[in-house]
Amino acid sequence: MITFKDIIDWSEAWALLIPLTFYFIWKPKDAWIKPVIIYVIIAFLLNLTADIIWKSHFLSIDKQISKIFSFLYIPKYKQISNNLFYNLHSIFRLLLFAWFFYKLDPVFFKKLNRVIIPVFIVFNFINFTFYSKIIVLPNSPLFAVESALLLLYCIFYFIRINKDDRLMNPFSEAPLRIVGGLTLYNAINFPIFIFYDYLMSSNEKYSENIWTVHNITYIVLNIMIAFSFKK
Amino acid sequence: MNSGGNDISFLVTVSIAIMLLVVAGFLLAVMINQRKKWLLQKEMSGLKEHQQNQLIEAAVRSEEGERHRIAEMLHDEVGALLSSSRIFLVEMNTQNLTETDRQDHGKVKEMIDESIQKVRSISHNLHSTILKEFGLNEAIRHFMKKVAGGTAVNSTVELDEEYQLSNAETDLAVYRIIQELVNNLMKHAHSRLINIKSSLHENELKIQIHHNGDGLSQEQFEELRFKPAGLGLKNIQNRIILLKGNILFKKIDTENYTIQLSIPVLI
Repeated sequence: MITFKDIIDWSEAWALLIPLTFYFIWKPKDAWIKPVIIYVIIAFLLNLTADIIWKSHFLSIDKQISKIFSFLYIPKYKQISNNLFYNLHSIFRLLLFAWFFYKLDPVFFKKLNRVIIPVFIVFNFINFTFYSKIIVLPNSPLFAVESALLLLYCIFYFIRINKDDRLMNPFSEAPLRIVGGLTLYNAINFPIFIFYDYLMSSNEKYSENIWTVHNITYIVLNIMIAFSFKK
Repeated sequence: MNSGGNDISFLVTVSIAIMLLVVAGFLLAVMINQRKKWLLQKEMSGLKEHQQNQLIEAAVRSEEGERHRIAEMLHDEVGALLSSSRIFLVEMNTQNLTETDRQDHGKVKEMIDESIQKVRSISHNLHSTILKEFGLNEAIRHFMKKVAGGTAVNSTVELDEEYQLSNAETDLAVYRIIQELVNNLMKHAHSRLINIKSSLHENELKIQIHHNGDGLSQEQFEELRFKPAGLGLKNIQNRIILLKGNILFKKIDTENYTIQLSIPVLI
């Protein structure tokens, strides 16, 4: 029987079908849609793969998964790790949303991108070269840094709105819905990401519950992305 | 679970709450700022609209003043001169004139009579005394009779008799709009059938002009009124703005067009 927890566990994958469906219904044409829809497709493929690996035992496909993803086998945990996909998702999310913000206002965000993207690349290089392996664990520092940087983009976006003489209706401005969803998602998840590694080892029950909070905010973000496709 | 685990769980929960508060505060500040901007823009656009209306009103008033002045000059000076000339001409002794001269004398008299009529007609067009004395309905009827009379244009006028004078300036503006529209229909649209209907609903006067010429659609009207050639249409729009009314051009089919005017009136 499918429980509420199962639905929430799989939400990382199915939630992305919401914006994807509305994209094909409303077929938006704005320039900023491209990075968003590329993100949605990449995130869907990565999260679906991660969830299939995670739930392979319940789906009775562990043998096939072990064969296909043998390179992700971690001897210490005696299992296939799906964390590579979460880590890649995090990297793609920052890069694609940086592109999204650039499309919203190339002049304003060009300078910010020139600082943030190199910082993020250098951070990843140092992090994965000296401190952790990209395939082993969900990477708390990566998620936290990505979240902080995206929050920075959101804050700069709101500052830009305030500086702009043009009046914006928060309910009719489509990109504002995405930025609102992104702000909410990153604000709530930033503390979770910072302490997630530590929480998993010290309070597993709480870490599972708090990940449900993450999944719910992710559903909200996807709903906001879907609504932004409507004119 | 150890106490360190509990502490970190508490820390994460508190951090989420703080982050939510910070974000909510930030969004609230953005919304307050947007509202301030909205109020300021609303005030600015109100002022701009008021200023624009004042300019239009001044332009319309000055145009009307000029029309009045020219009408008075035509009527009182040119008209008076022509009338005096006619009197002299009538009193002229034609007994000693040859047949040809007598015929010429008759022609000159006819031409002076025609000129007097034309001057009167132009003068009334520029400044309608009928509008002033008998109201909008009568002025429209008189105008239609005058412009369509003796032409191939078939005109009908069905006006709501409940409408009496609301405001002299409103009536004058409506009259000028109809004058301009009908002149355009005859000159540019080559209409052969013009029907004017009016109805009064509460505080709104609705006038519908139906015609069979090569009329305008709303898009064409919007486009033409910004072109130098569309000065008459621009004047119509200015008067409509001044009256806080509305004008709608509709194409029913290739030979059926309507122009609907909605004018708020104070009865």
